[in-house]
Amino acid sequence: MNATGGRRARRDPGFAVGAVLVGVTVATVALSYIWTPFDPLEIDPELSLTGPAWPHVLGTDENGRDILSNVIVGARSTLGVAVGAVVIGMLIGTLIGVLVGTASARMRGTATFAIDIVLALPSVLLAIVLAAVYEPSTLTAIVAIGIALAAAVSRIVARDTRAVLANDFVLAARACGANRRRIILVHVMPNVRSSLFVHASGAAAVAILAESTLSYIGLGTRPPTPSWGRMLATSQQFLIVEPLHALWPGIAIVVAVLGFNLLGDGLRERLDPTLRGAA
Amino acid sequence: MTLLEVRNLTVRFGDNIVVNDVSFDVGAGGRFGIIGESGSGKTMAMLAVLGVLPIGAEVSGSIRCDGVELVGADEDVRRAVRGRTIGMVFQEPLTALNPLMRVDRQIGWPLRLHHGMSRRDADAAAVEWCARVGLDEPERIARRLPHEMSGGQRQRIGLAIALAAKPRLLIADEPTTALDVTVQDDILRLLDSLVDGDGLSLIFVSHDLGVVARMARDIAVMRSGRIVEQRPTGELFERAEDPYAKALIESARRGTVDLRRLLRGES
Amino acid sequence: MTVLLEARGLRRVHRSGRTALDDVSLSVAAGARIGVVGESGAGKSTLVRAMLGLEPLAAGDVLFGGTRLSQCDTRAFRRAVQPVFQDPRSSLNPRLTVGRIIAEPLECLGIDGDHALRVREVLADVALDASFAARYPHELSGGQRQRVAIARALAPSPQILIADEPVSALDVLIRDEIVALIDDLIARRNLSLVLVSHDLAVVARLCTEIAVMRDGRVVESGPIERVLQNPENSFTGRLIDAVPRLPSVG
Repeated sequence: MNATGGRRARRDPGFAVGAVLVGVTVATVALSYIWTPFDPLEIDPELSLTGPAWPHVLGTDENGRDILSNVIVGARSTLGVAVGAVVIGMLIGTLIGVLVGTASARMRGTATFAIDIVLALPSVLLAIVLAAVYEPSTLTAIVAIGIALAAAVSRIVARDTRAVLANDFVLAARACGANRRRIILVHVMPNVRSSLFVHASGAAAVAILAESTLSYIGLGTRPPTPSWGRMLATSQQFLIVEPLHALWPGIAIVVAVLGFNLLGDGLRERLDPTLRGAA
Repeated sequence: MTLLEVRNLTVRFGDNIVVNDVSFDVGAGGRFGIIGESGSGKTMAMLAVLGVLPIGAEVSGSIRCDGVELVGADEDVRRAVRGRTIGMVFQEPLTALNPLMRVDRQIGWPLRLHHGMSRRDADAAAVEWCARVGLDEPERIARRLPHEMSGGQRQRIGLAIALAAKPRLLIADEPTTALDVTVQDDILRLLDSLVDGDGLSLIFVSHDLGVVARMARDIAVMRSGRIVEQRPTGELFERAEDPYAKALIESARRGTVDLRRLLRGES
Repeated sequence: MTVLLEARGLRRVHRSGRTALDDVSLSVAAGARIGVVGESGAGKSTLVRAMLGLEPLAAGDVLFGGTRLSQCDTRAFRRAVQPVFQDPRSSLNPRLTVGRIIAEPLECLGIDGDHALRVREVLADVALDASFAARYPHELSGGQRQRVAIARALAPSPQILIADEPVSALDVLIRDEIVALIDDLIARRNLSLVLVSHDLAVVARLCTEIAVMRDGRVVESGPIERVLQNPENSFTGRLIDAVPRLPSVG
């Protein structure tokens, strides 16, 4: 009877498509270190704001920089910030989530309240605060997004933890004198592990979007380092002259975000039926 | 004419055969029991009769209800049969009922669908049904939501919904398994009186031999998708031949003997 | 008769206000076989957790060897009193091998000796081949998983087994096997048994005493023949009557 569920998941193209899109994004980052059509920073004032034409396949920006090269290299900062933020968010979020999940009811109430407050603050606000204190940079973007992610992840992980704790095997462990540390390490973590991948995929999608937003409003990667979000922002000014320029960084962002979302959904589909299949 | 004729019913999901060459008849006023454990295919067979199998199921064989062939029939044909001729009660009342719909609306819906009743008439009929299935304060209960009631109450509602459209055959799939023993007793009594009172035919499916024996006059024992033994109830206990059926009977007997021994004080 | 474990006047009220246990007392003597019966919500599982020292109590005490749980040697208590739970799906950690699952009490309670050897011993006790130690729960049938749960309970050589509906989730024929296994193990190792069940037939087979619970209270208790033959409480009578009987049992 589980054959049906398994086959349905394999027929679902979402996972495959997501994996391909993410693969393309990662490959672009790799490519950026090996070769780009032009040096993305190289200025050529005579070729300002040209449309798609050989040799600048996607055109040039207002400084004559090759757009394609900037899109390729821009993947670095986007993915770099996303990975950094996801790592921070997952590490801190999982730790807090597991601790909150295994805490007493009263502690949980207080902690959840505090987390909800952090959650209510958009990462943009956090980034602005950080940028006001320190210079806005890639690092402030990573930290700001990372904190916002940590709050969201901790809520989900706390819920997952509660679900694991409801099982009789945890009761049996307590009846053997297992302390909280052992219960977390031996029982909670191994059972929460697989869903962490799903959460990480979703978090990556959110992080990419957040980084683009921050760059867009100038709080992310500083110029002249290429960044998709900033490319979107500057292309706005020249929409009348060259409307296509806004398309390329936009497509890049969509591909990356969609890829991670589909990957996460596909992972969830694959992992859940397996767990249910044990019944 | 036989109300339900099932011949060589086979249900498969790809290579997985869950119902294998099953045949049985249920006549008007008949009481047929199917006993089997988890994975025996008993529920799948009933879903096949109702025409509500999960996606991916391939059905072969014949299911004739009132002479109308249901296997391979259009959804319209099957829908007309469902609810109108055949009603079904399930095991888990909490999941079988719509959590967001008031009880009277859920009972009244088949009435409006199959008998074209107006909303007001259907609501009134629903209250009558609540009383008929033994619920206290039927007017109040009728306006409640499923989660506001106990398991036993919900199962009574489930019965009311199944019977409101006045079907001729009721399929009860483990209707009391999720209920406490004393509540189970009440529900079985209720089922008895409703089935007899309305002249219904009954198919009672369970893993509990004692319960099936109480409710059915003929019993089929299912295992791994097949019917391994089929006899009138009394005969089954005396003359079962299939080893699996015999093991089930032996097990149930031992349980009853232990209990009776204690109750009678024999050592 | 030595009283090994005793519950005295237990009272447990949930935050929602619902009373799960109300003045519940139960005494487990050496060699006792007590059945606790009642319907869902009667408080049976809460009583189990309380007797394992895992339930916060509003009033009352659980005494092990005459000493309150809060004051006794916790390790000794946990070694002596072990649970078996109902649902074979949730009572074993799906990420651990059978061997690690069974060894957990040995690790947590700091029991000396060769753990691997002990695991093999108890696997043999529950009629499972030693190769099972390397398997995972999802590879086992319901009956096999329940055997592993019993093996885990036996590993620290307890004196009392507290079984909460140990066979209710199993297929009928497997149920018989596990009941027979429990019967045999208790006799061989001289264990005391507290068996919680809604199934009177199972209790009749395994227990010599019975306590009937309803709405958080023990409404009747005593030797099983006396209670079943001459129930003093009407609820007990209803429980007995409600058990489906087979036709023409010889």
